[in-house]
Amino acid sequence: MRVAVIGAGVIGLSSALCIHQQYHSLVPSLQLEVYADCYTPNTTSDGAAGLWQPYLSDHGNLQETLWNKETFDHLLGQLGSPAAQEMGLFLLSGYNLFTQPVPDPSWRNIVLGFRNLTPKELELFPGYSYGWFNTAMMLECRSYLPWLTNKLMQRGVKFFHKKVESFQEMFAQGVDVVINCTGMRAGELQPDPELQPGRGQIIKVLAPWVKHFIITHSSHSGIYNSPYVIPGSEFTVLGGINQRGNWSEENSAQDHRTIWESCCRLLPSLQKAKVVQEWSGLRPTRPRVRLERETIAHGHLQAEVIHNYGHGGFGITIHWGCAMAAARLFGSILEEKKLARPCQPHL
Amino acid sequence: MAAPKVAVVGAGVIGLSTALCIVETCPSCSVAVLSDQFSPNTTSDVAAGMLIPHTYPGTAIHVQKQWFKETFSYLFAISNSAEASEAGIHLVSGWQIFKNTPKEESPFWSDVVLGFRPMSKAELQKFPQHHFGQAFTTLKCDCPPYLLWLEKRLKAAGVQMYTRKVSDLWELHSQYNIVVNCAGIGAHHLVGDEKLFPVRGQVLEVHAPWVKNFIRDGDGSTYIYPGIHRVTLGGTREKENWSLSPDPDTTKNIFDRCCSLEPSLQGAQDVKVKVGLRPSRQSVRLNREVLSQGGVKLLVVHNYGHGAGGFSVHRGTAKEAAHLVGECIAALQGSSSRAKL
Repeated sequence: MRVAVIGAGVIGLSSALCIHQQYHSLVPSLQLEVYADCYTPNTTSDGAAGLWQPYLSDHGNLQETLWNKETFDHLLGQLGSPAAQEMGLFLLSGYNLFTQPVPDPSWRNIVLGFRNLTPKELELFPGYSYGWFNTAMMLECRSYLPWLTNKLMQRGVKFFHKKVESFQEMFAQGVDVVINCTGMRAGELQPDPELQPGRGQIIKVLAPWVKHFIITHSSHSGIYNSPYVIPGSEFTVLGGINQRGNWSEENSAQDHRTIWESCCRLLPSLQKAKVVQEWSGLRPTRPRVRLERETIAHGHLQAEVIHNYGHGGFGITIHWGCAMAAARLFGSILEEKKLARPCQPHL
Repeated sequence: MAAPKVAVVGAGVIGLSTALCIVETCPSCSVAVLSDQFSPNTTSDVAAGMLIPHTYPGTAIHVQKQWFKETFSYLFAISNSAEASEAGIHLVSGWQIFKNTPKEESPFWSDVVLGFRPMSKAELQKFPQHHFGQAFTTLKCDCPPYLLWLEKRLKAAGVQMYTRKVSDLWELHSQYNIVVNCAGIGAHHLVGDEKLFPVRGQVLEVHAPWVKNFIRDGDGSTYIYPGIHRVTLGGTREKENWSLSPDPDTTKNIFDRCCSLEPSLQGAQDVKVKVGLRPSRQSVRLNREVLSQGGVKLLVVHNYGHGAGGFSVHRGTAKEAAHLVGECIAALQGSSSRAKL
């Protein structure tokens, strides 16, 4: 049973690990391979700051909220383990700021210690009159992806540095199941008009005195198109750009100015922060995550694709719930194949 | 009379902040700081500088609260300015956890810090041995940066700093009109205060930049305080122990206790061990005194004995000490005009 995971960002690697963890002992012939033209530290996941936080509203998409919760609970359970530091996992508290009262988010009971901000706290943030405080987690992909890669290599999973041009290419090689974790470029394998780039730009600075995340929200700008500051284990990420439909991965001087000025206004101490790096990436934005099976005809056989892409700006936040769901879909494929095997002609 | 000459003895957080307050309230004064130690070798440099007050049994609570409030406001403004990183001041959130529910569920300072509330059950799950906790956000003064920043402001205001061991306040009477005694634990010998005793604290400073929240055991014995570059792990409270030498068994003990609260500290690097003697007293000695010897008078203001709570109340006590210096100046001016008659 040959399974090819296409994509080596947080979604691809975690899906591979979940599938291998759950099925390698049940399916002795399981051969898992990862194909990607891009590996850490050059994936979209690597550019993300790594904060666990879903969007403000799930728009009634309870499934996504459940996957977010599964991810949070899974990570929380890993916090006390010796692996946490290697994974780039740690607790982080901080602020979400608004210019007017808003309803509580779908994740208020998932995170730790969720509460409204007091008037004194709001004094820190002129221009914002309402907000939340909570403790969540950071999962830094520059550590997490290598950690996942190590785990996979220890399990004998093979990695290929290759741009896959089509699902057929995989099937022609004898792959039985493809796990499509291609993120922003899923459209190249199968057109998907619902998948659009949400271009982000970030400035990485040295500001080790910042110990909280600060995310501002503006009702008219859209999510992550308003300044945010997220301290990592080494660098602090300044951001606030989310441009729908913009495919450019070039750093824009104007966006740099927007980020720098708005973040320094938000947190005056940043004026003394030293800029280390600038980066742009494309959030694989979709009205909902595409996580489903698709049976594709390959000659007279049927091949299976499990799609797992379109996680927008919450890939890290939702990754483990989605990986588990992808593994369940894989399980259902196995069940069907077991049932189907007696009927297949032996040539 | 000519500009009053004020000597501040001691260059820890109390000495430097008191000197600064004197400069602010009495611009005509000539102020000098005299100390045998300057940063990074003061007691203050060992302290984590967390704004979590220590309760002085001998001082009225409303006074302590006022000192804390003033200190908190002062530092809050700096933390929210471009000077924050240079001054070493930053906000930090975290948890104070208790194995047994404390008598006082809300300490006197709970409405001064930010967002004070009891911890939720989910938050307490991280600490299985502890059954009650408080979550809040407070400020931290990193040393040496804070002391160096105070020194810089003092120098800009024309304050001279002298490395000099003062063995007796009388040494200073010919050069200075007023002496402000901020000698910390040094006051035990300097002015023979038997009520002042050391409480020895050993700490570890480690590189663990992923630790962003503080954790403090409510009994005060164990704490994890993330600073700008290093995390302070503590500690010990050894009464009447004057030893400044790090003890290796204590180091291991502190590390183990902190790792049990925060397992990821196992991966901490570059451990540095420090020892400081908290200048402990039932109450902070904050008063005026007139020393007399052979018809010569020396006006003294004492500001020492802050024990475990120096950073938490430093600005408040510095302002009060500066006010007392103002009273000394008025007294000097009064007697000098009387002398002219």
